[in-house]
Parts: sequence; structure tokens; C-alpha cells
Amino acid sequence: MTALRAGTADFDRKEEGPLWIRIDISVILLSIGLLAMGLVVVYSATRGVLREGDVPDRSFLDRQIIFIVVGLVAGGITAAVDYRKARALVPVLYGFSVILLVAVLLFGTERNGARSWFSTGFADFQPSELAKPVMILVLAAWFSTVQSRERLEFVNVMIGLAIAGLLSGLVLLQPDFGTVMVYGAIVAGIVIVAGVSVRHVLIVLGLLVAAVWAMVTGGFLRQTQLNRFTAFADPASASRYNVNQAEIAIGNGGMTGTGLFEGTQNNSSLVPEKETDFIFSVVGEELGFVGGATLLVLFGLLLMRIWRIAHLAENDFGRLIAVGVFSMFLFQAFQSVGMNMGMMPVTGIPLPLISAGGSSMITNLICLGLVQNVHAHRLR
Amino acid sequence: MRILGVVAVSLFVALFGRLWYLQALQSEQLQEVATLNIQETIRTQAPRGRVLDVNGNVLVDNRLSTIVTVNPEDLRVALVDQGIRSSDDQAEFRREMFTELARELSGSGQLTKLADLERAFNDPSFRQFEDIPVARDVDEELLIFIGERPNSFPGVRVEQDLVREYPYGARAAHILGYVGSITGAELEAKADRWTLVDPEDPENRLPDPFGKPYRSNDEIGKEGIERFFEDDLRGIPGTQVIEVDNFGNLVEVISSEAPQRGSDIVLTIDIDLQVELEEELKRALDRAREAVPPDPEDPPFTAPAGAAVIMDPRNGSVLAMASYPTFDPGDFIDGLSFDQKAALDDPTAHQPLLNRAVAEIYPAASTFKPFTAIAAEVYNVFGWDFVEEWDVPTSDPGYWDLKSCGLESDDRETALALGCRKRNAGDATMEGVDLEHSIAFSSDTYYYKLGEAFWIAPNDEIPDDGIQQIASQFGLGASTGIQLPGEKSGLMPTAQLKQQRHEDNPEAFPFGDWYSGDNANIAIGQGDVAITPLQLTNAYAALANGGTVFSPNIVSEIRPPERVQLDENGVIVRDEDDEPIMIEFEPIEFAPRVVREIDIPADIEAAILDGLLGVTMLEKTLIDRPGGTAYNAFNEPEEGGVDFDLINWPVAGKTGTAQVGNGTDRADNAMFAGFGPSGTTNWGTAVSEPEYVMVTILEESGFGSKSAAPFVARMFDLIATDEVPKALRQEEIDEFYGVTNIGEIGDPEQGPAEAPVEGADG
Repeated sequence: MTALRAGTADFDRKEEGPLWIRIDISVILLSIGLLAMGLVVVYSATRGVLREGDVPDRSFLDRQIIFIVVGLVAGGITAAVDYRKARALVPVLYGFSVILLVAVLLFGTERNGARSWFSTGFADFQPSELAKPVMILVLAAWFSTVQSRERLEFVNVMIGLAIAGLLSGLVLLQPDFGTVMVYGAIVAGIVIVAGVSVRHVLIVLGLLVAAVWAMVTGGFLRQTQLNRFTAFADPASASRYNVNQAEIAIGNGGMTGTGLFEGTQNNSSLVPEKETDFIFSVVGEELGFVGGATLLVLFGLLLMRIWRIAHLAENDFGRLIAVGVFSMFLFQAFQSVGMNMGMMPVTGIPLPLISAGGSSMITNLICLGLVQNVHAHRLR
Repeated sequence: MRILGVVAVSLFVALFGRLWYLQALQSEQLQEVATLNIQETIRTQAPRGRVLDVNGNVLVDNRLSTIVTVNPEDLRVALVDQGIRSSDDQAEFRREMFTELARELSGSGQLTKLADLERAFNDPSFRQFEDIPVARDVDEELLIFIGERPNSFPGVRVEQDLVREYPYGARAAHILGYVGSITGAELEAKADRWTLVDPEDPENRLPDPFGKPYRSNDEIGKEGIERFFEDDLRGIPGTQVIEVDNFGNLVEVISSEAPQRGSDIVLTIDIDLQVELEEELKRALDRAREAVPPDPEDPPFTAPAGAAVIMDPRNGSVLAMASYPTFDPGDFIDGLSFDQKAALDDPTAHQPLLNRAVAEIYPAASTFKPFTAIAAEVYNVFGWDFVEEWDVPTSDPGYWDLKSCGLESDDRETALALGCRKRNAGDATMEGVDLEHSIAFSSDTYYYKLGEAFWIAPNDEIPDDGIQQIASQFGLGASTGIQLPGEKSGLMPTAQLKQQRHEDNPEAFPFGDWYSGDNANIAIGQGDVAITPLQLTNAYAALANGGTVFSPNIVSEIRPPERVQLDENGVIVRDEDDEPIMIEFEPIEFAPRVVREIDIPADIEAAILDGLLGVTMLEKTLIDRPGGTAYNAFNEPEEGGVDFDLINWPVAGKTGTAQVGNGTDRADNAMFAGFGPSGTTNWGTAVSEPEYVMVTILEESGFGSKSAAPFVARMFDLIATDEVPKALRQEEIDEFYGVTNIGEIGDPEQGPAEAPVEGADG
């Protein structure tokens, strides 16, 4: 574990000054860049086709702004309370999440074949999104506890996986395969950094393959989900349509893009779910390679900063929290952008900080709050 | 932790690589696809050309028909907006909507069931974004009914569509044919109208700029003129390429080409004569059915079907062509109903769709004899061995015992048992039979003798197939090349052909050898000689005009429509008054098509003409011999004939009574072939150039002299006296019935209305 602490040069410095001085300002700036870009493309994707006299549809934009404000407040609160002191709260949060996930199975609203939402008047609320930071916290707490001994024992790895497995299982019942994949990325990142041995990784992978095999053959996955997944490999399948249209949109953008609001693929609604899962196609079409690359660079820099925060973390708990957030952002960004470009299977995963959607936006901002919290409390 | 960093960097490198590939390397191709994506091509149906008769009467026209269409995508979107999302609920809504629609249609007088609408809606040849016609020819009131209830009938539209109209109803149905939806096979056959971008990818094709591209559910000519002149009649569909937004709303018109009408087809048919021929054909068959065979043991005259053709022998133009039973091309406008199809397919209906004038083959029987006589003169059979010269009267004992049998005695039983005795119809005996009288009395024996002589004479003197050669020159047993689809060629049997058929298919043709008897049968037009009524008409036209064989025309010209002039951008060019500048095209005319000139020896031609005139003029009571076979038909009104002015409008003709099958289970076909006005000084008639030739074949109707000849006599009488009535249009007939029907319903006391006399009972 000593290797992990190699970068903590200012190990002995004391915390000084107010919170807003101690946080990582570049994470804030990068996030603002992404959020601004997101607002613009979400607006472009949802304003509608305008002719003379038409009033653009601002409803998505306005709601997205509200989500961001709520998310910033939630993230700020998350950042403010010292995570080390709040550690005792983790089991409570975990229990609360389990209750919510059970409740959504019983009382939730079904949409696109998945029972993942609580319907409210203003916006639908997706508990599996809010369970992401809880997942990060609970795994970080568990593995930072058990890795304090010399090496991570297999039984502890399995217990950690069981903790994550309960949440994943409940989400699978909805069924929401995409979110479970994000959970998987969080688990993988934390477990790897926590120092799991190669042998254990192989055993876990074997179990995972068996579980997936059982789910597929046991009819646990719905046909539509299988179709979407296999569309990745089968160019003739009907589910391939979305990806084709997204690729056409991105290609249509060329180097500099068609210009904002000018994307024909966007305006003709040829790409389904373009304001959420396929938002990158709008970025690619209207802002071109310049815009797409800028977005990727912003994400890359943000991830570098989070990686650095993990490095500088005062303790293993904080480090693993940052690693969890890092893994989540990395996976979601790669999966979402990759899916838009036909590199990854079609799963309903939003692009963090960009895609329209309240639960996802608030969750991501809470996660950034967590990271800031770790950074702000990197000194004893 | 370094692992995570490495993973992150490599994933981002991959994303950048892919982004570069799509936006820099693939961009050009994908931009093209994106352009096509937002374009939609709308096609507008172009009116088909019309079909006109020789006097400019319109036989096939177009009219507007009100149709009800459903757009599945509009329906689906509307239902989703109303919160009806699951496909089961949507189907349920559709069922209720169709039930309502069917009720409304039935209420307006068009009986419609829910299943009819569902079937039309589920036609797989339509795409999701297309308007699917579910009901045609509906009451225009429906436009208001549906228009007032957009929420009850989402995606349903009432539109106007062009359909075929037949002003004369079912008249000339076999000539005109009908149109219907293009089949998969037909679409495939028209595939050469497309330019394939990539031979490996048949889906990726562009319309041929010079063609008239088809797509599924397009209208195409199925039979008759509609089919034969499909390429001319079909208009060029208009196309409009537009850019659409996500609501399918028009953003911009990218290019637009107006639909262009198809060419009009002008027939050689005279509709007045055509209607009369159809009527008289039907009447002739009705009369034949009433007649009783002379021997009660013989099969009855069922007279189920028949055909007749009238042609101008001077140029080969078909003036009228009738086939019975017939059909109504109007039935095909909305597609045949199940009952209509069943009625047409019913075997007892005797194939109403078949144009028997060109597409059915019959034995030629006695109408063939003039051609045997010409062959005998051409190949010097007259005067050879046992054959007398053509002008020498001989005695006809009523039979001919084949020489090749080598019978010693004259014993009837032996000759019959050996199949060596060929007999006259009814074993009739005649005296003083030379060529002229052999035709007028229809002596079979005279021709059996000629037929056998051809076969048994040494080949270096007389060719075995001399009769067939001459008959073939007259076009018998071969397609005439008329502008109609489905023409049959018939058959002119020869020894070689018989052998060939036997070798190719011994089961169907158990005998391969050719005997004297075969040649004797050929000489009287039996024994597998198979001709179409049109071929026989055409051959008699050559007899009438002195040996010119035509390829008959039923079309006189193709008239391309005026077209608007377009500039290179596809915009209509206009003059200073803003009127479009029209380009006229020269019509394509069909000149008479001479196939060959036959040099008929003049003396034999005169003798044959005298014989053919004798058929109608030779009065039995004048001589101690049977009279001309069609004398009664042209002279005796009380015998079912007409009182014909033969002196001023002489008719040369030949009866035929053709044995079909084995001659015992079915009655004979009755035939007559003749032309006029014709004449010779020998008969003391006017001598004029024949203007009309007519042939009729009445199936299973008995003697040609009794049923076929009177029919021809009636037609020629109308023509000669210039009394062919003007054909009535369907609307004129309907008008008459419409008035009387109201009278009937309104006033039951008045009794049933009388039908109009002419042309209304079709």
C-alpha cells in the first residue's frame, strides 16, 4: 500500500482556510465547460425545427438548468461535510438505497420495458442513478477497511462483491443492464486499486462469465436487451439503425461541423434518443471533429484531475472514493461516446454532465462533490 | 492505480481514432448518406394514354375516383400522442376505427366488411410511410364525414385517384384488355428499366432516365391493347424530391418533374361495327343452342363459345373482333372481388378472358378447300393420273376409297373396316362436280382425291407437302403478328412434323407415320390442321384481294401527348402570357404490313371465286343438285337467313362444319368465311373490290350453313345497307335504365320497364 501514497508530498500539512480555497478549482472549470457544452447541445437537440414565427422549445433547456442548479447544491453539500467524519453514515445510505431500489420495483413506473423510475410531477427520479455514489462510498469504505492488513483476502473481495451485488441484482430486476455495467466499472476500478491479486481477478471473472451465461440462457434478460446488445456485432439487425444514424450524423459533421442547430440528422430526428444516450451524435454533427475532440479533451483533463485527487488523497477511503468516481466517469464517457461511434454496444447510458436527464446530472454532480470533498480534506 | 491510468489513456486514444476516422476519413461518404436521409421522393401518378376507335370515339379513358387511404405511420404517431402506446391497444383502436369506417361505407351504398379493410391495410407491398388505399370509388360525401372527425380517424384520408374508365362498358373487352396491380414477376421483368449502381447490390438502383420506372402496386396492362402497348400507354410518373423535417413537413423542394400523360392508341376498330358484331355473335350462339340436331342421337348444340373477325382485305385492318363469352374490364378497376374471380375461373364459364379470335385454335374444315385447290393447280395435280382437270365435271359417289389401300372390290364394309373409305358429310352424292361446284356444294370427295394424289404422286413431280406449303403461304398455322398479346400460332401438320412429335413425346403422340389418309384429311382442313379465326380471316383477305397477305393491324397510330417544355432545371418553359409552351410530337402510324404476294393462277382464282359466290347464290331448285351451302342464309328469311341484295353486294364465302374430338361426344363447330362486295360476270353480279372479309367460328353449334352463315349474312346485310347502328355509351344506357328504374320503384302500378332495343342487352 505504500506505493499508493508515493505522491502525497504535502502529507503533513494541516488544513487551512475555507472549503472553497481547498477544493480543486480546475475540476470546477472543466465541469463548467462540459456543462455549458451540454446545455448548448441539449437545447439544439430539443428546440425543434423552427420556421418563421415558431417559438423554440425551451422546456428541456430550462429543466436541465434546474437540474444543474439542484446538482450543484447537492454536490456542494456533499463536498462540505468531511467524508472521514461521515463514514459512519455509509451503511445508512446503503440501506436507504436498497429500500429505494426495492420500492422502485414495487411502485415504480415502467418505461422502455424497464421499471426504473419514480414518477413525480416535474421530473422522473431514477434511484439506480443515485445509488452510484452510494456504491462508490460503500465499496471504498469496505475495501479501505479490509486492505489495512497486508494483502486483500479473497473472502473480503467476495464480501465486497456481495455488497455491490445486492444493488446490482436489484437493478438487474428492473431490468437496467446499462446501469449495472456502470456499477461493474465502479467495482472493477475500486477492486483493482485496492490490490486484488491476479488469481482472484481470474476467479471472479470466471464467476461473472458463468453468471452472464446463466442470465442469457435462463431468460433473465429480455429479448430487446439481447437484441440491442448483439446489434453491435450484427450489422443487419434492426437495432443497428440507431448506431448507423448516429455514425452518419457524426460523419456528416466533418471537421468543423454543420454549425449549431444546423445538423440535418439532428433536425430530422433520425437519431433516436438524441438528447440523452445519443447526445454525442449531435455534438459530432453540429460541432464537428473540433467540437467532439474538445469534449473528449475536457473529459480527459477532468479524469486526470480526479486521478490526481486519488493520488493526493489523505487516506485509502478517500483514494478509493476518487477511484470509484474516476472509473464511473471513464466508463460512462467511453461507453456513451463509443456507442455513438459504433464501437460499443447500444446500452442506455447517458454521457456524464452532457446528456439531458435529472437523476444522472444530479448524481454526477454529487460524485464530483465527493471528489472535491476528498481533495479538500487531503491534509490531516 | 497506474493500471487505471493506462486503461483510461488507451480508451481515449481509441475514441480519438474512431472520431478521426468518422469525421475526417469517412466524412464524405457519410455526408452523402445524410443528404439522402432528409430527402423524400414523392411520386405522382401519370394518367395513362387513352384508347380510341378509328373514328375517334374514346374506348378507354381515365376518370377520378374517390379513395380512402390510411397512412400507418400517421396513425401510429397520432395514437402515441393520444397515449395509446402498446401495439395491442393500437390494433384494437384500428379495429374500432375500421368498423366505424365500414359502417359508413356500407351506409353510403358500398357494402364493406371490417375484414376487407383489414386485408387492404395489411397489404405487404406498402411501406410504413405510404398511404394505403383501403376503399375505392367511394361516395364523395365521405370526404366531409372523415374531414369533420380527424380525431376518430387519425391517418385516414379521402383522396382522388385516377382509374380507368370504359365509356362503352364491357364492349371490345378482349381487344382492350384490362389493367391491374403489377406483380412481383412483372416488376422483375421491368427491372431493365433501372440502372444498377452495383451489380452485387440489386436494391441500390436508380431509375432509368429514359424509362418509365415501376414500383410495387403500380398499375400495368394485363391483357389486350393495355398490355401490348403498355410502354406507350403508361405515362411518366411525376417526381418531386423534397427535404423534410422531423414531422415530415416540407422544408424545401429540391427538384420537381411534372407527370406526363401516356400516348393515346388509335385502333382500326369501328366501335359501331364492333358492338354489332358482339351482339350478333351472342345471338348466333343463342339461336344455335335452340336448334335440334337432325339425329336425336347426336350430341346437342351447346354453342358455349365463339369468335368472329371483320377485316378490310385491302389493307389488313381489323374492323371488329368479337369473342364470346366475354367479361367486363371495369371489374378489374378495384381488383376482382372473390365472387368475380370465381365466376371467371368457373370451368362452365368457358374462359371469358380468352380472346378466341387470336388465342384459340380450331380445325379449318371446309373453309380450307380453296387453298387445297390453289395448291393442286400450282403443283399440277389437276390432270395427274386419277385426278381430272379442274374444269371437268365428275361424279361424286359420296366417298373416296384411298388408292394406297389397293382395294380390289368396291365393298363398303371392307373399305370402312380398313379405314380406307373417306366419306362426304351425310354420304351425300353429287353429279357434275368440277372445282367451282366442289366449293359451292362442299364435296369432300373431290378434295380427298386431291389430297391423296399429293401424297402418292412421285416426289419429283408433286411435293408431298404441297397443300401445307400453299396454306402456310396464306398464313395458316402461323402467328399473324397482330398487335395483341397471347396470339396462338396453330399448326400446319406435315409428315416430318408428325414424326418429330412422335419421337419427342411418344406417349402423347403414339403414331409417327404419315399415311394417305392423313393427306386426305389435310385436304379438307381436318386432321390436326389448327388455325385461329384471325388467321382464317387473314387468309380469306388474301383470296379476296388477289393474293396479298398482310400482317393484320388492329392499331392505326400511336399519338404521343403534347408535352410541356422543360428547361435543364426541370422548370416549365412559359411564353410571355405565362402559358406553358407545349411540344407536339408526330404520331406513329401503322401502315399496312404486306408479308408476301402470292401469285394465284388467274384461271383457278376465277373458278374459286365463282365457287365461293355459288355458296351464297346457287339456288337448289334451279338445278338437279344440292344448292350452295349458304344459299338459305343469304336468301331465305323464313329459313333463318336474310333477304340479301347479292346482285349489288355479292358475297363470296365458304361454310365449314368442323369435327372436334372424336366426332361423337361433341357437336361440330360451325364456321363461315366470306368476303364482299365481290362478284364475277359469270354470276351476273356487280364486280367490285371486296372491302370486308368476315370469319366466324361457333363452337359446338352444328352446321356452318345453319348457324354461322346466317350470322355473317346479317352482319354483311347491315354493312351493305349501311344500317350499322351507332353504338351506345354505357352512360346512355344507364340513363335509360335509370329513368325507368325510378318509374318502377315510384309507381308499382306502371309495370316493368321495357329495355331499349339496341345495344342495351349486353
